[in-house]
Amino acid sequence: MTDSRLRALPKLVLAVAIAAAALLPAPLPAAPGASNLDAAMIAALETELARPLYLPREIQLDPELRTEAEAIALAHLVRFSKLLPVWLEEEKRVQAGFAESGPNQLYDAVFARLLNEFALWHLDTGDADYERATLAVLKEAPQVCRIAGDRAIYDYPHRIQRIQAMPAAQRKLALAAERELLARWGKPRAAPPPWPQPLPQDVAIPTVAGIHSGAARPLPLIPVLASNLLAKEGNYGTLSVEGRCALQQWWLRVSLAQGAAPAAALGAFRYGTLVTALDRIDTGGDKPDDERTAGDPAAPPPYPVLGRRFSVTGSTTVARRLDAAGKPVEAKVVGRDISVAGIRGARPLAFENVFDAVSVRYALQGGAASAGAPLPERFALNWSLEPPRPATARSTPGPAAKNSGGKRQ
Amino acid sequence: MTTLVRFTMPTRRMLRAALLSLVVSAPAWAADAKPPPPPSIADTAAMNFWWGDFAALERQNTLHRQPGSVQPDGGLQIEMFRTGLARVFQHKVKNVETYLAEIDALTLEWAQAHPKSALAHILHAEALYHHAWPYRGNGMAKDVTPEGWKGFEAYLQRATLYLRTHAEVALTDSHAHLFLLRMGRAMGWDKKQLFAILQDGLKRNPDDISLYFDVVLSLLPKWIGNVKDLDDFIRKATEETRSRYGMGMYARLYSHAAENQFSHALFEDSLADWDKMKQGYEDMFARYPDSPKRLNRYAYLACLAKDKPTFLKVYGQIGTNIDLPEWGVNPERSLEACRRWGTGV
Repeated sequence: MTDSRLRALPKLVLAVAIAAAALLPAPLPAAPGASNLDAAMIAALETELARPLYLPREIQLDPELRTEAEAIALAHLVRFSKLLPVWLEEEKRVQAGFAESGPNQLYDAVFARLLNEFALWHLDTGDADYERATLAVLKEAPQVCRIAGDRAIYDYPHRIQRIQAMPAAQRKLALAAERELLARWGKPRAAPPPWPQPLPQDVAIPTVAGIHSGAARPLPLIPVLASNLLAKEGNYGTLSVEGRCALQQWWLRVSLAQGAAPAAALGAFRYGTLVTALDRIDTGGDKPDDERTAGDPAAPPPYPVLGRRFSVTGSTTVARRLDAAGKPVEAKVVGRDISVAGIRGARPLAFENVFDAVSVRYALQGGAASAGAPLPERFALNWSLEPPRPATARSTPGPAAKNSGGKRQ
Repeated sequence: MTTLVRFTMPTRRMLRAALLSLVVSAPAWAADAKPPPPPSIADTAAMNFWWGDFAALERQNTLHRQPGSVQPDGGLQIEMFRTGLARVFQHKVKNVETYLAEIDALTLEWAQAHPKSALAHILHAEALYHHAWPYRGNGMAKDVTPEGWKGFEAYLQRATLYLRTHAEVALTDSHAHLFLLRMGRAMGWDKKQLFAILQDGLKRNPDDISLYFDVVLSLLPKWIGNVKDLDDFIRKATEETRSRYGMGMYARLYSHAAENQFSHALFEDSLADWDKMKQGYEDMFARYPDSPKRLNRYAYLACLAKDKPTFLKVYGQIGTNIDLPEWGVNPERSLEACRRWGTGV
């Protein structure tokens, strides 16, 4: 990394990077620019890695379980933080030929890979005992969806809360399974199951609406859901993270009562509670693009800020239902073929829903095509960014990509 | 949630702290966060119910029903538990009917799955009871529509029938008796019936003095009683509990009567005897000195009784720990009037 690239960093980033470097315990290398920045990036990534594995003190855990769970997390952090510099070097090699490559692009690519590990971990399955015990807890222990402490940090706490709710004899085995699941990070693993069609919430919410209209109640809702979904007429989007988890838990019980296979019900629950990049990263609601295209139904759907930042590209397939007049009344994403810079050899699960909301919104807006012809009931949207130019083509660093928006296929 | 600003805060020092913290303490980003105080019994009960965790409610109920389960101020732990439950039943929402219908169904599901649980049956009966009230509303009886009465009575009858059907199990817990006393007040049962429920409840749980408080409500002139009935009952209750509270229940029950009917006119409109009440407060403080709320109430009642020396003594003990709700209706004015009267400034 050169000094000129370092100068190109936004002032804030530079200031923080220097401050971070100044706090490093070891003496700085002679050529400080690249090393300082690398160290700052690794430190940032390590913190992103550690944060979701922290068990807040507010969570009531048996001391023995807490001790063991913290030891497992620590071992994982120690092991995995050694891999982050390797990933960074690997990414440097990959990006070496692109002019747009800079510290931010480099960081984001490795960060994307890290976020994807969290997502793959979330969907991963343990041994048969672990799966059985997890399902039993989700059926019987209503408070495992509650979140104590920082509500943005709930990956590991949720898992350990579930283990806390298991019979004492089961806990050791479950912890061993957790250790095994964490050991799969960064290694090739079995492909995750496809996204459920429909998503559990897309069935659960209409079922709740049916209860509101007097239809038979498959199972009673707990007060937190009855209040938010029935009495306050909320929807999935208005539920908190824990409320969504509670709804997924309710739907898991309903599905099982209706004869769903346990593995399928558990898989749907995991997808329903998947923490994606959209959940982890605050993009300010993608406002700039929304404002740019507001009120123009013919404009291509805006490129999500998160998608641009992480160089997410690919296509989404949307299916929609039209009324007799041809007006779309319902739309959902039924296919995703997504690529993300930095994620290779695995599905970019953490980013696969980046385009979902804009795709659905676009499909419901009427989908006026540029030629004036209405969109069909099922269509694909392509998401591409301006291709990177050779390194020699740019003399000054700048934004890596220009939004070209979603294009109909 | 991570923000779009890159490299926002993390440093290697923070990470090292974060790693260490997983073993010994909170991580760097939570370094300033102190663990919150443990939730109260009422908060825990409300949260357990809010999340439909009936198994946790059963554990709480069993724990707080143990003899001697009292708070530092002498309040019953089981009463706090019930206060927490009531918050969920009385949760204020726009479409209360749909909310309460789910609570009915949820409590019934639990009761059917746990037919030997007294609490499960009581909770379902309570759900039906609370479902009745939105039909009636909290206004005057004369303002209730015929349809409102119909819905109100229908749910009360369902609640009564349910509890009668499961009486053998439900009545092993004095919570059921408390529920019946409330039902009796809503349905106009006579004193004899109420006293019989009280006695049976005390047989099941002699510590459950909340039953006395509920009978006091029914004996208020605005319900089925009069000042003589009320006074007779309070004296009797005081005798029955003298070994535990001295004259304490005399003070507490008349304070309850003031709160629910007589207000500032307690000593004019009822047979309350200030000397006995004063003795009651002294007896309570001798046993349970840690009660700022009760100290405020004591001062307020001393003011009502025009006992200046007692008021000044207690008011001085309160210092800055004013607890406004203990100062009757319109408490700010009440407090100010008492202060002016007592201190002369």
